[in-house]
Amino acid sequence: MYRPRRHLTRKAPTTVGALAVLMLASACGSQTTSGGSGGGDSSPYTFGVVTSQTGGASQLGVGELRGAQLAADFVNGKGGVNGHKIQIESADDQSQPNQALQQTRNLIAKKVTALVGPSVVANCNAIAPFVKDNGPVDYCLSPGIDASGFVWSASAKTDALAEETMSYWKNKGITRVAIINTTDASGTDGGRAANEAAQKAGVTVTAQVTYEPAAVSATAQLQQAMASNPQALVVWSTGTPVGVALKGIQQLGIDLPVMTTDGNLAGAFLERIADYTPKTLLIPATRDFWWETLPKTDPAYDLEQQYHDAYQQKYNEAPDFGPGVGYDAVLVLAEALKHAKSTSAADIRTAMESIDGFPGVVGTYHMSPDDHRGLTVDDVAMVQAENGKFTYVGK
Amino acid sequence: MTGLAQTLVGGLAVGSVYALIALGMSLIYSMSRVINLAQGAFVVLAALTAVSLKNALGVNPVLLLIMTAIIFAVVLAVVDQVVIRPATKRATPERMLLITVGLLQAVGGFLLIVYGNLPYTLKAFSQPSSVTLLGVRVATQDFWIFGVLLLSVLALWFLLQRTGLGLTMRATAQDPRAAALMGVNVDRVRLMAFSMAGAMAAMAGAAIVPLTFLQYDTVVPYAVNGFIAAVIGGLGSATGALAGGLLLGVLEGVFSRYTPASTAEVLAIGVLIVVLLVRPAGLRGKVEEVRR
Repeated sequence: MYRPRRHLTRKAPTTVGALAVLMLASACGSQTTSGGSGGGDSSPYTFGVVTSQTGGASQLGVGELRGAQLAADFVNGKGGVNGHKIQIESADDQSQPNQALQQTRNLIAKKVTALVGPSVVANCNAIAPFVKDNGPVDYCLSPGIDASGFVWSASAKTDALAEETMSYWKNKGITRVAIINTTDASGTDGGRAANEAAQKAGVTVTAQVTYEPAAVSATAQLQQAMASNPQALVVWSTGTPVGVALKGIQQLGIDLPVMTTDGNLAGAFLERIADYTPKTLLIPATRDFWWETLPKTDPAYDLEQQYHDAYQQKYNEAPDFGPGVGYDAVLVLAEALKHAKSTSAADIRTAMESIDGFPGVVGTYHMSPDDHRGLTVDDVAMVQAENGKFTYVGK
Repeated sequence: MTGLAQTLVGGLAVGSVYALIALGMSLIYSMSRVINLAQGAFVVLAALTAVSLKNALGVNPVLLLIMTAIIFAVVLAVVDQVVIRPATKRATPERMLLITVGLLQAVGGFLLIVYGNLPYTLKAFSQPSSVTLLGVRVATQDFWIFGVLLLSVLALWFLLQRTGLGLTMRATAQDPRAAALMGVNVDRVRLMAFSMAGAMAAMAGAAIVPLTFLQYDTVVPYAVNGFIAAVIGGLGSATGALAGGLLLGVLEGVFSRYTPASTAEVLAIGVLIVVLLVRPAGLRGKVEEVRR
């Protein structure tokens, strides 16, 4: 009898400790950031926001959560949705797909009204099979997934970004481009989209070369691209690999217009590449980056003004790529809830699919059962990175 | 032809960094029989430290290289005393490998916490940042990298072949137990090997960062490529590490120039596997060690 007792005695603290750690982890993993009373007709609608607050994708995730919270404050400031306040229940997926799924399960167990996030395509793909057929509605903040069922996808599609770029260049007389993209999922998809968009616009792709996202140098690939005598370069990747390519462009003395992707629409990124920014660095961007060119009578102008002012005031910096999609996700879900017959996932989905001409900060949404994104090439224009800012250069 | 020459120069520059990592790994392996997979991670840590030093103090490149070398000589000595030395007394070689993988992850985590997830770089040490030689455009930073490699190789050769300490180190490398029985303080010799490996990693990191962007998740490619270079050259062989690193860099560059990136990597590793099949101990390794 002694042995089992000793076994129990030794195990008990370990088990209790493990439970305590699990409870602590759970407590740290999700956090309610806006209060609200439970029960009754005025009980809040809770949106579970799963973003990457730590890890590699936190550059996106931190801003996305800020944007979502700002939108909830905005809606609540106007009295909420049909008398219900919006409450944000945030969770950190640590930039890991398995954590994204774990946090999503936790939020669903807490019976959230809808989900917003995760931040990146791999994490969205991790949770999509879990919610796609039965809900709750999930508004994935990455543009990189094919959204259907109960899943929505934020921002403009990769194809729309590529189409806008090629159309812009064609109008500027550029008819020969070389594409250099990374071998990861988003780089490969971007390379494909750029190739197809070029064909559609009547632009010749003189070369398409690839490099590893973790490559130290891309000069060999750039040489290969330059051997085809292009008039412009497409560098399709996000973050560090783009920096590596831009360094190579400078080292090789290449003096061509360069296009890169909207994932690089961040002030921090511009700071990092300040000394290596090509003379012309173009990025296809959604409306939140060129809203000031809208006529003041445009239905979106006031919303954009309010969003940018509120973000600047609350966080003392201008919003970049992340906050806009988080902001719109909450606005669009709130709009759907306003028209849904109930808070059931099916009714929210039907209401979401009926949204048509709803202005957000990223663009104006035209959803349908076949379009769970609602933005098109009309919501995209070209901006140029110069002097640490993004300047509108046209459509 | 000019394009190929340009690719070769670029490949040699990247290969020089792999060679410096492999040299450090081989040196540590010779003295301790520990394969330090974290060696590549220290290159990135040193690179970001160099960025911090440059931004904070604005020191000139030579001083920057010396400062980072001294700092990381101390850092690796501490790693040896705090992690490796106590672990080798308890763990088998296989578990030591796991410990160095843990060390690699720890360095990556430390970088993420301290430097965040943004990429870092430095301006080229010399201006202009590139020059044209015989029609070939070369980054001037490449010459700094070649210089660091040359300096490290010459210093290592002089130390090992022309000094009493070098003789002691060679004796330890050949048979640590016999050296200990002859009165050699093996722990001290190993400490010196770690310090030298740290200095080489530091100079590699400080010299490469102006050519690229580095951040917390770039530790793994350096660790893997440095390890491959060390194995191809023959673990424990300094000349092998040099040859392995340069060969890997050139193969990666040449294949990247003419094939898609993923194919290039497979082809480069494929060629190196063939080398290992023909010479199982690597380019300069000892066959009897492999058989044993």
